[in-house]
Amino acid sequence: MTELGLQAVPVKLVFFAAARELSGCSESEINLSTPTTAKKLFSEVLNKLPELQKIEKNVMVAINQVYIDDDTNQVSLRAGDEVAFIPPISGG
Amino acid sequence: MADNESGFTHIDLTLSELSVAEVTQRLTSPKCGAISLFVGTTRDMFEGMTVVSLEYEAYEAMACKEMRKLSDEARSQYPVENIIIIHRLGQVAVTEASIIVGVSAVHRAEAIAATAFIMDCIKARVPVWKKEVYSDGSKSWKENKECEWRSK
Repeated sequence: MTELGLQAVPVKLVFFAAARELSGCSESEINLSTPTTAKKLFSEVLNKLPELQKIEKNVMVAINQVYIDDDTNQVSLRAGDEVAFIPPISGG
Repeated sequence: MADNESGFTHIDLTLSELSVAEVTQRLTSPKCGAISLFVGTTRDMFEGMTVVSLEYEAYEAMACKEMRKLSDEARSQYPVENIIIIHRLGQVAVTEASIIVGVSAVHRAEAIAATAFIMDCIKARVPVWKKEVYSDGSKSWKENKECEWRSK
């Protein structure tokens, strides 16, 4: 049963580094509820990809290549959005 | 690159070896008395283990966006002319450069400060990852200490 105003939209998930190794893929399509939060959308993905549990505490979410700095802030997803799971970085 | 009164910003990701001479030449401007460069090179040891090889990967589109954002921030804080950031991807041999950050400015204080600022921001925000392979066969995804979401 969906809450009032809640819908599911298809998004493209992209995985890098440790997240890719755990999920076994670099891209995946998934339906996620919206509106949502980074925290909530990660747990929805965990239902499909429980291996990602390992990085749950140390991952940042980016939507359309913008970091979601506050994982409790409400965000809206639209069909075709790109959602990335960003493990701790080591560039530079 | 959009040129404005403050010069250009050039961001790049490349599989090729980085050239300090080329970056220096591009940064040069008759308005500037200072060119500051930072070259990040790869080390052969990590916590007593010998690094046999290392490889960089990036969320390329987002990495370029973040580097542009942080360059804009640097410009808002320091009066600099040209900025170049080039990050190497793929396999990088130990001692080779993995990144060059270059800034030209009228005076050295802002060139040096902006270079340091840019490097600090890159370490904290740009989605690039390094995987090291050690002589005992083990592998590890490195985590910058500047990364707020690193494993503690």
